[in-house]
Amino acid sequence: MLFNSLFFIGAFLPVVVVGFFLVGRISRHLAGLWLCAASLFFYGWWNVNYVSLLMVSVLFNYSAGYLMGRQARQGENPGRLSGWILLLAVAANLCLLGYYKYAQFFLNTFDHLAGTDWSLGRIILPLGISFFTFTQIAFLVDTNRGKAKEYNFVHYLLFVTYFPHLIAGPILHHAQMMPQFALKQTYAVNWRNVALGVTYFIIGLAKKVLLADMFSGTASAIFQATSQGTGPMLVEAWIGALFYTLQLYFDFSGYSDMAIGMSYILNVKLPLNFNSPYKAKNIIDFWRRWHMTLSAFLRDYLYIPLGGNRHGIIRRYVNLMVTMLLGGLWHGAGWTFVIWGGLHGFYLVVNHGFGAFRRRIGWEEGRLGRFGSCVSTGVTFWAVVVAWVFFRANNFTTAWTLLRGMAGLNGISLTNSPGNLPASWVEFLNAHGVIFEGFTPITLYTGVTLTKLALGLIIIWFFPNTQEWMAITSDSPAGAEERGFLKRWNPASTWTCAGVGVLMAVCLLDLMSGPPSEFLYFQF
Amino acid sequence: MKTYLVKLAAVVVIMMVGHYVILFTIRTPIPAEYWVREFIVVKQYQAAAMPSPKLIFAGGSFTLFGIDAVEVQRSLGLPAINLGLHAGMRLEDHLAEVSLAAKPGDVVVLSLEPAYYNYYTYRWNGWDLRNAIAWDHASLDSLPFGRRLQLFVESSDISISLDLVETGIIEHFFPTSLRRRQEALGPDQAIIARYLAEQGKSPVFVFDISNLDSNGDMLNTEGTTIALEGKKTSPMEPASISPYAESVLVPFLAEMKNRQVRVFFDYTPYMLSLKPGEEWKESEVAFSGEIRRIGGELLEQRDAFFYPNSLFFNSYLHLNAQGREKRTQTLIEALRHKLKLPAGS
Repeated sequence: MLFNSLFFIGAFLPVVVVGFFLVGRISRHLAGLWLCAASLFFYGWWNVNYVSLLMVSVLFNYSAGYLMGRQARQGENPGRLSGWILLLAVAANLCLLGYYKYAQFFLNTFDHLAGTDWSLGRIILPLGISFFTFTQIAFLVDTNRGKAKEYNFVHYLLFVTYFPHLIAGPILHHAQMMPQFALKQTYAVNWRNVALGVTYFIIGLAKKVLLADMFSGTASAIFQATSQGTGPMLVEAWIGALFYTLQLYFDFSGYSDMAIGMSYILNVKLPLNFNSPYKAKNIIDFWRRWHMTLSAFLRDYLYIPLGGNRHGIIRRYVNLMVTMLLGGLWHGAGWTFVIWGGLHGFYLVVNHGFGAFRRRIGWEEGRLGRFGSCVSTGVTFWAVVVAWVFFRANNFTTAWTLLRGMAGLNGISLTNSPGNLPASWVEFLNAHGVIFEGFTPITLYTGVTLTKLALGLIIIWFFPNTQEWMAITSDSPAGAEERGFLKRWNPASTWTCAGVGVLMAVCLLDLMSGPPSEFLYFQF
Repeated sequence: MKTYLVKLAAVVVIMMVGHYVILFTIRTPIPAEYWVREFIVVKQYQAAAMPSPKLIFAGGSFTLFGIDAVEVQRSLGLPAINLGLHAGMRLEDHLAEVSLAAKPGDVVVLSLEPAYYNYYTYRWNGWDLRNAIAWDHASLDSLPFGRRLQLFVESSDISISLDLVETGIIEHFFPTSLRRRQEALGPDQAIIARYLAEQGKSPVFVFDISNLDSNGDMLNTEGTTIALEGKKTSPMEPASISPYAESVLVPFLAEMKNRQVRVFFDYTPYMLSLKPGEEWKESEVAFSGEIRRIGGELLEQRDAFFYPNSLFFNSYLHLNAQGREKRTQTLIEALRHKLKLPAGS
């Protein structure tokens, strides 16, 4: 069931919300169970067979966490036994993930190297397995560290299966969620939260339906043509990479906004996942703004346990590379994802190295003022776009062909006709890879394409993001300062009502006229 | 906050109800492809004037741009009508036009764009709806209320209702600016009269009956224009025939057979910057099997339709004059071979 489907918006979500608050009047425990049941129904809608896998995973991790916690509660020396339980449980989780997500990939790699032809048959990747596995690994580690202390099974089940985050995050911490499930206020309607949540959800829906889906057609056409052997030329290769860059952002941040919004309606605050990542001034900044919950997970449960920056510069850089390579592999079982992670690891190493160099020569940050800031943002964006090519391409050849195109090595196509250019000039240009088949010979529609691109870039660089506009970057919206050039969300304003209402109506009309498209992060 | 939510819901409801009310109640000549209506009238008029046996080339705009029926007629000595219209039209509508024009002994070459073979259900698309609202009122109004509501819900977007209102305002204050659209809505005789007066007189390319020749071919398509529209067709398509397309095509083929009309299926062009790999061959084998399965007959092979960008006019489906010349020669040879016509005929 997709968040952007009419069934979800018009039936599932309203029934769940109304049922939750009605049952919540009778019993908080029952209301929790209602949400669990709804979440499992939501998950089972995709493939009912994998509900049992999800439940086994939940029961196993809960039991492991409970055992570790009991050691601590009984005052027994938790160190050794708890450590073993943690090790076994994390290993079991990684085995589960490894089997469903990576076994075929590693086997294919082995086949390729050894010339064998082994296969595990067709393994269907359970939806959201990366997310619910990582969420539970974090729980186990937190329990071992003594940070997770509540063991109400219904709350735990809800923490893992909670439908707004189950499929594609945000990745949650036990400590963020359990106290909210225990609060009495969570189970009573809070109209302020409903208003915030509905608005947040609509903005997320609009990002997905009106923006991400708009960018997907052109991006897919160019990547597909490239994978089929067409070498996109300079302008079109950049358009392909930039459209995918925009599509991915609006798709994933739209999903996150919808998850945060519907959760607000249920009085549960989910952590933010995006903070205008393409406004980042360097790669370190980018990773503080892009998929923030995954970045925090990788930092807390991988980079820091590996030693972080505590063992010298070289070890720090190695740790960064390892973290990002594994982060890349988490996204998908393919070498292109590893390369994507490796590229970001490399970027981070360069970024840290440059920072250290800058400090050594006493060059203050922000010295170049606004111009320097724009250049930093531009360079960071460029680096991110280049890396997304590997993320999107289905193999190296495709990625390489597109990157060659972005460098102009596949030639340059200009307007459809050389116009009044002398024939000798045209001949000269043709001989040097310049042809006249339109700027976008694969996808055509040059004017429309460039207009869409400009619109997307204006939104990502000059518009406030959802939480800025909604002023919920802090928990005190009333005191939050006005940001950006768009007026802040104001429920008392007729213009706000009209604007958000029109956005919702347009999205609904769009959804009615065709089937909804999947979110990109579902594949991870 | 409750007030905010109530207002928000009210805006959504008002917007949506307003959208459907506008679709049901307002009929203004919104921007659409009125030339299709005029071409249908003119081409049926041309076909009716031709004796049988004749050749009928039908399909979307590829046929309109890509076949020189005058040249075919001259080379094969058989009357030939180019019944190519628009690839946005429903399959049923194309077949209805063919059915109207075909007489015993005729030969039909049906070059359907690949999407036609993938239709999975009876459904109007956005193009159908916009054009039905603009000029095909009879089709729209013949549908029962429930079917129309379903159609509006499934196929309309907000731009249509906005256009209906905007055109209504223009119609009220600046009626002369909509003169051409109003002409297309006039009686068939008026359209035919205009065609006879202006036939072939357009000095430049335009989607207008003045730019059609006596056999329904599009004129003034030399060179390549700047704005290429649409997306390319993959050489892997079509590969199969959907159950729905089959349910429409099979009765049509049976009807044509009863009427002693021979029907050939043919492809539409593939715009290829680079030479494709060999994968398309599997697709071709699969598709020709599908055509045989529904009782049809393929006229040519897919690779006869691979053309470089320079032979296209203003879309990936529209060959230019040079492309059309090349295409027509191939077609003539294929027809001569299939119909066992003597060389030089």
